[in-house]
Amino acid sequence: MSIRLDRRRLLMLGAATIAAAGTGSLAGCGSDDASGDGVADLQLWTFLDPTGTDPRGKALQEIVDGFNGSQSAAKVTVTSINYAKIDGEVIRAANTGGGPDIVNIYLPQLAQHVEGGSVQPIDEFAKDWLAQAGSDYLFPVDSAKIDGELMALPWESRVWLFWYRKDILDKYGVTPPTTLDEAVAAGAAVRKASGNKVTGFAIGLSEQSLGADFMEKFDPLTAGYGGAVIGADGKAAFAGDAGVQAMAMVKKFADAGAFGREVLTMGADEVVNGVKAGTVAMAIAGSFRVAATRSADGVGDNLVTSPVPGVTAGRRLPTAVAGQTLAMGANTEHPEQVWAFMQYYLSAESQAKFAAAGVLPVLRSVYDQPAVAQASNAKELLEWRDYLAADGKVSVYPPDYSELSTNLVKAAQKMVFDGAAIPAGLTEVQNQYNQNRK
Amino acid sequence: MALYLPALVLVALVSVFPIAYALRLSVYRTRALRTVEFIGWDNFATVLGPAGWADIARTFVYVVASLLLAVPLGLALAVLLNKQVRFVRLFRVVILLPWVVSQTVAALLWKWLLNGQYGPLHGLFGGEGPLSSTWGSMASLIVVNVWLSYPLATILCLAALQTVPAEQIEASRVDGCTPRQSFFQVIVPTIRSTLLILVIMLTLLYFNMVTLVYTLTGGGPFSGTQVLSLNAFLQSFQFFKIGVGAAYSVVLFVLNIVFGVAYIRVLKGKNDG
Repeated sequence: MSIRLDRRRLLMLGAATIAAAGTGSLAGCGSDDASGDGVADLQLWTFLDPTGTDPRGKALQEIVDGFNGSQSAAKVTVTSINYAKIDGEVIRAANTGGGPDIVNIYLPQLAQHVEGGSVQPIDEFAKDWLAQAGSDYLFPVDSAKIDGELMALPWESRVWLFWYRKDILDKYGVTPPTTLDEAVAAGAAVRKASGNKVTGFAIGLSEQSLGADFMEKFDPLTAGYGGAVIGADGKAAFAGDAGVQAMAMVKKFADAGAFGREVLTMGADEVVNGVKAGTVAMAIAGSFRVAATRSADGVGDNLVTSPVPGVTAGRRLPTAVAGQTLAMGANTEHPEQVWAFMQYYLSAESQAKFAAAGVLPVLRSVYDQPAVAQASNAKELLEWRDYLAADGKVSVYPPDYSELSTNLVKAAQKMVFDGAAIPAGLTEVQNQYNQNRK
Repeated sequence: MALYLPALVLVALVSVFPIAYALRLSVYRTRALRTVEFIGWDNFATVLGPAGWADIARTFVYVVASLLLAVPLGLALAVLLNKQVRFVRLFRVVILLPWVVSQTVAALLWKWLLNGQYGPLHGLFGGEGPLSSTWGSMASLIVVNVWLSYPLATILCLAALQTVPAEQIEASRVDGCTPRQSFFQVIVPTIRSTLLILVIMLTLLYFNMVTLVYTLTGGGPFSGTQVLSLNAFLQSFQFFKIGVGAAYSVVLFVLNIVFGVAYIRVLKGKNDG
């Protein structure tokens, strides 16, 4: 049998191919009713990996399984994406008409998602729930509002704590510091005693991962000296006295020898990996990483956490308060089911599961739940909660925070290791940022 | 004409349209992934400003140094693999192995190897690995890039070497050529076309490389490994300044075209000669 391909047939074939390709690509994105049985297939994109070793991933899987088993209207499927890439992936996908139905967003990136059009407001859905549970939030849920609209529901709190490896400090005869100046001296002593093989006090100055590790220290340090990275008017304000003192403190660690140029290759992951490997003795790191770090070989109870020592004895450094949120994808076809899942995610039962994995719950009442109060890490969780309540500071995270943090860490590299003047280095980045905002 | 149509539509969809779209984006101020207003050449003023020229200079260092190492290395290994020795198949597999490693995996592997504190080579570095300094970081990047791409050079050179007639080489030896003269005056001119195609392929590959740079150094420290392709990616998909990112891409595109045309002219000129 032969098929004659005349011009008209070829044109029709071409058009059909293009149409099929277009339809296929559209069908590949976003939510659908894949099973055809009326069950909404909801895509959840998150940085957590249910198949990995992080206890939070396992808790996530339990919650998703619990939700899928609790009702028959929707089935949630998890897609895990590296935390450094997830925001870009979601915004790109949403702008092509696809993307997830539910997306996990780190609070500092929320404004970027709103500007990128990847999420939608949830005020209508959350109104009644917030009327009941809103006051239960440990920190104001308003932090997830952009231009007056609620764009996400925080489900996790995190504080930044002083971490130290007790076994390493003991090995070198160093006592845990109680002030920042003592931390400088202790860090320098450890690094010197180890022949520079152990970083005494790590502050990651790599520009990878958007300079997040540096910002997680610079922000609370600036607050500790009475300032803010971004002022209430939305303008950068870190080149003021407080920011200069904070930067000078970072440089002091380097000058004293508490860390060397190895921190130029360290981001948040590398600092934590260093603590696990025993090549970092002290750091300021997030509460959310404690459980995973302790599970590493040889770490366990050798990792001790406490509020970050303050500028003077008896005081504590304020802690940045941030956390993970759950948002509704801009292109979801099943907003009701998405909201149902978000509520389930914020239920006391789900929050207790995350608490067992070392996550600080966002709702006060959850701490009274037997599953949390009687958990093996209950004492530590309560200490973190109290630190958050007493010294927590919610920062402003503008849409271009990623660029600002990258530029700031590049400037910090020069100020700490390259002899650049501190006020001038900060002022240059601040002016550039404020100029661009105009 | 109708027979060409599907192919033309496909090429337009995957090549012409994205290029035209990038050109359009590059002259707009954008907000997230949306165009806001026409701003003419303002984005190019950023790309071709002082910091942008530094990026271009670093890109050239990275591309040229990688080429200077990868091509001779690939050719030398191809010559060795072309000899009839025992276990030649085993050697071929081992030498070509890096080719199957993805850029991300290679970057993470080398990052661990070069870590000054806990990497296997840490004894060489005394606490601070090469990735902690500007030049060490660029040197490491080039080495890893060459490690990843020399197998491609080896394969192409090996294929070309196997087309050189043995009689031609023997004749040159009978005429009194030393092995070195025979190689440079008989073999290399015979495989010149392949070498030039290889150089074009590697040049384009190196100019456009993002994953390796992003994962290994992230452009640092001190922006010492910040190359054009990385900045195009960062501006577009980390800072969501897609207009500036498109301007970087356009500059990269022009460089690719210029180098591609130059190589082809050299090839054509030699062949004509």
